[in-house]
Amino acid sequence: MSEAKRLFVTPGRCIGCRGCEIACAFAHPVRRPGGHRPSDQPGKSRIRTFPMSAERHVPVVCLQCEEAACQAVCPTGALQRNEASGAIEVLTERCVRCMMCVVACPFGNVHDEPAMREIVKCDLCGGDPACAKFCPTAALEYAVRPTRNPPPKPLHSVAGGTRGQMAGAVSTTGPSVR
Amino acid sequence: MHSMQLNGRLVNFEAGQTLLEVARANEVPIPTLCHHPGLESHGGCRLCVVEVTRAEWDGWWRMVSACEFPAADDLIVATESERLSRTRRNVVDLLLARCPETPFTVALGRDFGLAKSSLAPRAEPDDCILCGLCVRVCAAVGAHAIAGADRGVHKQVGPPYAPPSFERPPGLAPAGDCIGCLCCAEICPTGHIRYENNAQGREIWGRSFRVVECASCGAPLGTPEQLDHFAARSGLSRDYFERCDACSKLDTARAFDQQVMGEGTS
Amino acid sequence: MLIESVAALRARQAELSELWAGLERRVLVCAGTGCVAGGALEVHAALTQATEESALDVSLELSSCADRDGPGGTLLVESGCHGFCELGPLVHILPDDILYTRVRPKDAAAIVEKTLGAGEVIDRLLYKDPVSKEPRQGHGEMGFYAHQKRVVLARCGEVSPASLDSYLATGGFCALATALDTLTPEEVLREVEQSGLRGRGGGGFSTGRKWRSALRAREARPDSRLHVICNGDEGDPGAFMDRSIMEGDPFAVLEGMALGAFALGSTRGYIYVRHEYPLAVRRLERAIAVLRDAGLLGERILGCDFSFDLELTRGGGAFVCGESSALMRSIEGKPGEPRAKYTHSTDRGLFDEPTVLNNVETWALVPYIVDHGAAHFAAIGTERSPGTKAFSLVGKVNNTGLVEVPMGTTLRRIIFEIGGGIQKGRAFKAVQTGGPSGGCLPAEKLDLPVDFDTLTAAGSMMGSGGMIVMDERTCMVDVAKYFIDFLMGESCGKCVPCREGLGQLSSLLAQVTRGEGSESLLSKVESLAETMELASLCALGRSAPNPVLSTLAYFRDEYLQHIEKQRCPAGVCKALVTYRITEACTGCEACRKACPVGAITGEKKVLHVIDDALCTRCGACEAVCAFDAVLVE
Ligand SMILES: Cc1cc2nc3c(=O)[nH]c(=O)nc-3n(C[C@H](O)[C@H](O)[C@H](O)COP(=O)(O)O)c2cc1C
Ligand code: SF4
Ligand code: SF4
Ligand code: SF4
Ligand code: SF4
Ligand code: FES
Repeated sequence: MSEAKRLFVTPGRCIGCRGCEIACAFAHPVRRPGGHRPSDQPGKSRIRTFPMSAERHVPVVCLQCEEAACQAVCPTGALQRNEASGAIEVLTERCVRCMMCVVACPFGNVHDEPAMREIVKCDLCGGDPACAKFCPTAALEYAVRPTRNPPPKPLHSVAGGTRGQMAGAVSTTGPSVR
Repeated sequence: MHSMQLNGRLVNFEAGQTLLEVARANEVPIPTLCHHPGLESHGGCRLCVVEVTRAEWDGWWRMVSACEFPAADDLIVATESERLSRTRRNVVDLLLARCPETPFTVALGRDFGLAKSSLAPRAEPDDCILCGLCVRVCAAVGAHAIAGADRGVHKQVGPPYAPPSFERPPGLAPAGDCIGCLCCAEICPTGHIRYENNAQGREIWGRSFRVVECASCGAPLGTPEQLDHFAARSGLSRDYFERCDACSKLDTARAFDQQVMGEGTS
Repeated sequence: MLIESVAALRARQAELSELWAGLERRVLVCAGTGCVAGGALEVHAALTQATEESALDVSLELSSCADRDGPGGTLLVESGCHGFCELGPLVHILPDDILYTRVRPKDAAAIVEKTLGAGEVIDRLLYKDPVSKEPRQGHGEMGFYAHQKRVVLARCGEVSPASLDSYLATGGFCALATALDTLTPEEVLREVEQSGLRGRGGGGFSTGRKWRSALRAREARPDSRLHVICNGDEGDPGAFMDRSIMEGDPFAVLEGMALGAFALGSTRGYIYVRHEYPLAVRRLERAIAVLRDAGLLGERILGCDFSFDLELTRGGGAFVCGESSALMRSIEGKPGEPRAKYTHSTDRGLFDEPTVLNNVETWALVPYIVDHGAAHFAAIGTERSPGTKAFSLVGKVNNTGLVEVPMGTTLRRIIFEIGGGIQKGRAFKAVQTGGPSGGCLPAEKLDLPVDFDTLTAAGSMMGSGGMIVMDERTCMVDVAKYFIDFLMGESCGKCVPCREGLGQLSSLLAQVTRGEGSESLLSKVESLAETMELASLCALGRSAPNPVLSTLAYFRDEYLQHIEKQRCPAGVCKALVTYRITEACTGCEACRKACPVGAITGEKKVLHVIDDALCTRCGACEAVCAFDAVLVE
């Protein structure tokens, strides 16, 4: 695999503090439609931590899939991979908010932000993810590390299949994602 | 690497870029109206006009739309001039006469120093400036449900044979191919395209749509036509499109959790 | 009948030319759209019947002339437009050069018996000179024809457009035969380049240069195809050059395209014909079918290594569909809206592939050029605009119709010698050239030698060759408004300057015709015109202000009279004129009866009076008054 850094999630270490969510929200402040200057109001977090039981928490963030469903459905080419960070980014000026990507992502990692009239997803903060920096337990790490879990290929692995098979694809790929 | 002259400055560009793209990359502002970076260029509003010439053209120049004109080596481009200001102002003046009451054109007029149009206002104005964005976005989405009908000043956008309003004269066919995605209304700069989300579902272009809800939480997802269209167009299975993003995210968390648990016990 | 080789074609041409030369007489019944509307087909039927009943040796087809008692005899056919549509149905008898005008079926017996049988001329059917009222026997005696030079129209009115035989007998397909067996594609292309031919569709762009760039573009993209297209949209009101060629000499257009395809290595051509031209569509479709049967279109033409076929598309009928990029979109099945031509269509045209689009007349000239040589063609006309040009001469001239003259012929010659001067002996005021977005030229410009560059320099343009003559009773503001209104209806509506600008120009001009506004209105007009010229997307919008700008340039005073004095000098603008009855009135009551609103009162033999408050300025009284007593001021 490449030497590029990736975002690794280790759910076992997550304590459910939700610091990542706050970090993400502040790293992506609200932009008013039409205005280009960001405000200091926190925006919508692209990462979310789900409590599974009292002691188990799972952070979910975009897996930056290799063959991404969101990118494949976009009619305007508004989803493009930033080759430097590896993130699939929304080029907002090209986006027409058709919502295809939002409903197409099998992992639920693309969101509509009605107040901003924008589609948002994890952009790895351009190569310096705020969530990883804030995570007190290193449940989120941005690093170069050999892994047995390459980023998922949801389109490839379930070509013609259904979302039921999709869940299988997720679990075999594992939670460690770039 | 290619290069050309932009307002007297030598700038680099990549093959295939338009003058507008080159200008924006170099932070030279050019006003635009009908341009959208995600859609095919239209060249309809003519607000983005610039002057181009070449050394060998011997003083001859032409005015072109920056959103369409391909950048080329050794081109000499001016984005500002007396003549360009006059032209852009006249274009805005014409639009303001077309839509004298529309907040968008009124604001545009103000940007160009026009408190009101110096020309005769249109007799029964609506809010459409005929920028063609709605038609192009609908085509990009793949629905091709709306188009420009008629010519010249009588031109209107809408589903075939239908004026863009809820009060459709009786006897006109409803918008056949429309999938109710609202992209057209979303992109319309003037708010000319009306729609409504209500308890029954959604209405646009005189047609009513049911709204499908997320299979697990009941959040509204889109119209069935829209989801079918997404599936057909993307080649993805229809059940990619049955859950909202929040529920999918939760599902993902559960799947991760299962796996971690599995690893823990083995 | 399949012609299998170039040699077989040549043999057939020789055989048919001989038959043609041996004909004693040809009787040509004009079957152009104008004459057909006047009953030309019935005339043809009546003549056919009358000849059958006579003992004369008359054939209806060239090939059947041979079956009779040896060569010779008379050929009776329906031909393409003779050009003098105004006096149709026309019957032209050659080689006697007798032109019968306004022929009716009941005249057939007399024509067959007297003229064909006994060689007598029937005076009452002849054309009368508008000035001297003398009868004129044929083309040779008529200014309308005598001053023309017919190159592209040579066969129109001379042969049956349906007959490949006649086409072959009159030199048709000689050019293609030569190209196929003695010339290389490059040589054909060079011939066209050297002829200096410029496109007849409006812009006057060098045809050779256009072909060369398309060829280069295709060489640069070896996987692409090159398409040739014929623009037969002809949307200009009052223009019918292209229609007459398509109807009267369809094979020439097709041969021209085949030559172009040969020169350019194209295998596919398209003819785009306006759907209001059903006769042209029928004749072309038929001609295409005939050529396919003859092996002159399709796979391996004349057994050579050259394949080319054609498809006919009917236009949607919008004027703007004649614009090249709109036309190509329309052939692709998309809405006929223009696109910015920042990439030439020679590079990326139809289906985004290299494309050569030429006008009907341009294509029809190609066989002539290949046949006679570039030098011969270049010697006709002016240096920078070689060749001839067909015009449709209409308006207030005595002879209206289709004319063809060498480039460089003066307006005066066209209007006064060919056109026979202004109707009713009135004074010439202006001539509008170039179609709806052309300009109006005043009397000072009558000696202008007409070619692409002189017309543009004078503020008008060649366009596709429309020529509308106006007399002293024409109001130039009204004319400008007429054309602006036409263009307003035809603007595709895609871009702001054209769509909105034309609407505004129309309403500004309407104000002038009502005597409203001030000089600042004129500067508003000029400012809008500048924006339209500079910023419109396609040539329609960019040339649309021409009618206003040219009339403002040459007839500004007339505008000012409207604005400042509330006067329409020509007495046209209804809001500014009054109708008054003068002492010349004899009290005949004709006007009183004609007035639709009852505005005229008066007893028999007493001077009549018009009530200005009731008068709607419809002009009915003026039209009926036999004593010129109704004054418009
Ligand atoms: C609005 C508009 C209408 C036109 N209509 C015609 C037409 O009816 N016939 C035609 O041959 N060219 C027409 N043209 C010119 C064509 O765009 C094109 O230049 C021409 O067909 C090229 O052929 P040529 O080089 O043989 O002249 C029109 C152009 C414009 C802008
Ligand atoms: S919402 Fe935007 S980013 Fe998503 S698919 Fe549509 S255009 Fe592309
Ligand atoms: S709502 Fe209908 S008309 Fe509008 S973009 Fe979607 S499909 Fe097209
Ligand atoms: S409805 Fe809106 S988006 Fe569509 S053409 Fe009119 S102004 Fe543009
Ligand atoms: S100039 Fe007129 S005809 Fe041409 S694109 Fe613009 S609106 Fe259409
Ligand atoms: S932005 Fe270029 S023409 Fe409208």
